[in-house]
Amino acid sequence: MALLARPRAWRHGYEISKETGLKSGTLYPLLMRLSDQRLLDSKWREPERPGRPPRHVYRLTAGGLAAARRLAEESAAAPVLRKELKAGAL
Amino acid sequence: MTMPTVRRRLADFVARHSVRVLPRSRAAWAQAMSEEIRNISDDHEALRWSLGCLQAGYSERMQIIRLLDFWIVRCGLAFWIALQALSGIFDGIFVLSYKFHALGITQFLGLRTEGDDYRRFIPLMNGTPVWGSIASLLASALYLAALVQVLRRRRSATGLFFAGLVLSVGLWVKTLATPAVEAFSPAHLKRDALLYVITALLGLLLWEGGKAPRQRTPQP
Repeated sequence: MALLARPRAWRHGYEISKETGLKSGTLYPLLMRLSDQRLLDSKWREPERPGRPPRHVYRLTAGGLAAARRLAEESAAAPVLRKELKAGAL
Repeated sequence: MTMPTVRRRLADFVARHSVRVLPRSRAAWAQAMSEEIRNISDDHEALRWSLGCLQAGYSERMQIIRLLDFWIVRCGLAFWIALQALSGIFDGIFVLSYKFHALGITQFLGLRTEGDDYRRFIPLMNGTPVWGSIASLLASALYLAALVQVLRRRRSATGLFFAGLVLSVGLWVKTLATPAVEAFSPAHLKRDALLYVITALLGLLLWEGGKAPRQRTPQP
């Protein structure tokens, strides 16, 4: 979802971690899985400040974007469905 | 130039260890995690980040650990396969020696059976066709080929193993369908069934170990 906010922007691991609150130990395995499933693009970006090493940056692929949007819609629909189920509308 | 703090040095040490822990197929990710630490200016944050990387490294390492990577497991499996192969060779030679009147061999092998006498197996041996014994020897040959491939850590071991297993179970089931099966005690038959179940379970271990790795090498 964090990658969905600005889908075309490349973001590094630390930034994603700050946005999502995920620790690196949770974040990197997730990024690896997404990349294995070709849902995530990655590349090396030159450092912004001299003397710093290049950074690995990430963004969703077209497939990843579609999957994330689908997930977002499903999770948005879930509370409505739950309410309707409780009310006996379905 | 200022000296790095203890936290920074510890973070670097843990990061270097995380890089080593990650599987080789994740080398690019290892580099990505370790370079990220060098971009974190706060030492405390860097240390926390490196500890997370260590956790990620070990969790990835655990994903690819397979029992067959341990030589003791491979040797144990090879030993079991060797026993199955020997059993098939024994059965095949036992029946063929009787059928071709090499009774010295039959008698010698009979001493190694339950009851120490080959004669009670005569109805069973009469009821077993020559091709059945040849098939038994073939199953053993398949097992032996699987054994060699297990020790060489080749994936083809799985196919050879299951071919041998299917053939030997087929022959056993065929034997069960003949009246001559009375030569065996119910306990003996139960033990045979159990051995086949154990062999099949070990086959699953072999199959699991022979699967292609789930990971692909990323090219960031």
